[in-house]
Amino acid sequence: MSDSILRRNNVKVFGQGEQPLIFAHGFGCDQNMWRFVTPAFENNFKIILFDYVGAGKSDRSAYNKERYASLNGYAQDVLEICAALNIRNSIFVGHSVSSMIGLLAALEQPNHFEKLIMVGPSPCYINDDGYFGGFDRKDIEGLLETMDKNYIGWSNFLAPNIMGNKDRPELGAELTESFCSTDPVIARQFAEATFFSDNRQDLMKLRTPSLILQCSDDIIAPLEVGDYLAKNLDNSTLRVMKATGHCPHMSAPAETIDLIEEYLLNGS
Amino acid sequence: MQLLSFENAPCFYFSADDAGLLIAVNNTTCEELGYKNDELKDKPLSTILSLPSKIFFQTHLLPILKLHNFAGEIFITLQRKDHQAVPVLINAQREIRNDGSITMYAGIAVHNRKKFEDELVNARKQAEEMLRENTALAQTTNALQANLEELDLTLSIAKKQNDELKQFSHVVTHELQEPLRKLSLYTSMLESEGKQSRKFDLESVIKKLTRVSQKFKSIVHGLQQYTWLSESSLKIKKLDLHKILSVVEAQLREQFPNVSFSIEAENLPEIEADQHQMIILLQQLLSNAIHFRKENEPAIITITCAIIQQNKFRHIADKYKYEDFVRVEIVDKGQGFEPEYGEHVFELFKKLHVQSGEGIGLSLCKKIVENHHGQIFAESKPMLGTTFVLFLPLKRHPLATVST
Repeated sequence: MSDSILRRNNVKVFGQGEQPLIFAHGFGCDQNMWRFVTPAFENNFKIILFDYVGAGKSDRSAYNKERYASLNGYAQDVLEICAALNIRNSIFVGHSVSSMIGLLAALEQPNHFEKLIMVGPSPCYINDDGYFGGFDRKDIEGLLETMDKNYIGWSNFLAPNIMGNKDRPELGAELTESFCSTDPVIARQFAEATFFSDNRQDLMKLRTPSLILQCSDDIIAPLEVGDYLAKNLDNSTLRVMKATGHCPHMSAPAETIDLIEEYLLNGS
Repeated sequence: MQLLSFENAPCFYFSADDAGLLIAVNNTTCEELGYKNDELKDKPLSTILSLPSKIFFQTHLLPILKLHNFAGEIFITLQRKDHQAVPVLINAQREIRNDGSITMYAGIAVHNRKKFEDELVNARKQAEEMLRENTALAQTTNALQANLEELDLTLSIAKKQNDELKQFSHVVTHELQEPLRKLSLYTSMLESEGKQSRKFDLESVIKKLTRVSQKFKSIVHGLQQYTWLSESSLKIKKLDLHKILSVVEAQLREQFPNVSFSIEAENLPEIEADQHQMIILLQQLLSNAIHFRKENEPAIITITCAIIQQNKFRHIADKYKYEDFVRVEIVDKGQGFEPEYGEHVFELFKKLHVQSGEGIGLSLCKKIVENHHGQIFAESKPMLGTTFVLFLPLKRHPLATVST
């Protein structure tokens, strides 16, 4: 059971430390995006990298449309990996949507997690009465269209897809590389699960301490969203980064590493 | 040979630094997007992207460029100064230089191609829609889903009954054998020795006999309780767990009149369950915590709850339906037990502490939780205390309201 989970999610474990440090990638990429950050922690932590089912080099035949229709299925990936590796008191670093996936996992099995580090998190992307998420529904529909267009060259993209198609032929290596190996149908469903998610009600349930790394100019998670999170998450620390954009772990790895180290050393 | 100028080339051509600021923009781009020459210099690249393309840029394009330094045939939508959209196909190349990296973008507008692709995407969506709307298919899918849910439930019940049967036969073959063996031993002692010796201590044998038969009785009583819980039909209604807890707390004050204990509970929700069984459940778990408090210390119990979502399918592989469950955590700082007993504490007549009762309480709890299609786990460390974690569905499945 545990071996099959580790294969399914392409789990990589390395580093000389004891305490587990889990890095979870966000929407649009895979575990590769952590490569500028992980070396700084190798000496003191046991580093765990993985790809969600459907992303990177995960086992795509394990993809299940019902399971991954909401972030719950992705949280189950995290919990199953934690169980397979017998993890307790880990530090979970989640980029973007993985912050909320980590939160859902920590609500269900708090013992696996000692601290959550959220990089560019948002509990809800769509504006709502009195809440500013940054987007309207039509913006997200526009994104889905952009994604559709970018996958139009893919074999099988134009075939109607209603049930999980396990016989989908392997996709061209070049395109696979260029989109961090995400299958179009899966990527679209992940986009929907991500951008239509609303976890605002879950925030106040979290008891695990958390660090919110908020970029200074991030259209996907604007400053207002970071403030909202800090206000609604007990035991949270908000740090606004100099880094701009949505991927500080790629664009400003040094600042990202410093802030994580500082938090782990001093707590909040 | 004359050098080519890209300023008026029939394509979009611009560059940006790693901070996302435009360094150079050719005339064609400025004109097509409705800007004056040089107006875009040092502006953020996002100025000329539509909002959806900004998201795509951040989540897809930048990570690719950072990892591979090249991205080709990417569809994005540029935004004119007057907010009109211009669909564009671009290539991007990132170059690492001494004074920082720059990324060059070259693209062509694809108005016509976009129309054609829109048609393709629409055709695909229609095909999908037709498949989805096919009523016969939909009905079959619904029926199948209902059947699967029922099957999963039946599997739960079958598994539960099988587990119970195993535990029963264990009780009958082991737990009841022991007092029986003693009973027959003592009666044969009465028979043989009582005749021979006058010094024979009749009183002590009678005492032993009484003790053994009481033990026998308590086991049978426990079994009765256990079977009664399985056979009695559940009366499901909406319950306020706070009210249930105050009923239980009053019972506990009577049961432990001279013990100092406190129960703190937060966020107890309303759930659809059988009132009587919920009372037994909390009663057993809490009296356990009070019973096994640390010597000379008050029992301090905290109950916390959170609503989470769990897959309701427990047995059928590859079926998922996430529904609301309440996660209840009951923590005591009592004597605790060795962690390896974790799963066994719920077995019928499993006793970990010598001074405990018949060893039926926690198996009743497991049974009640399973009657409600939930799960229960125990975690403990000696002298640190015990934590029970329960997952109970908030809403009762209509199929499950029949007797289980």
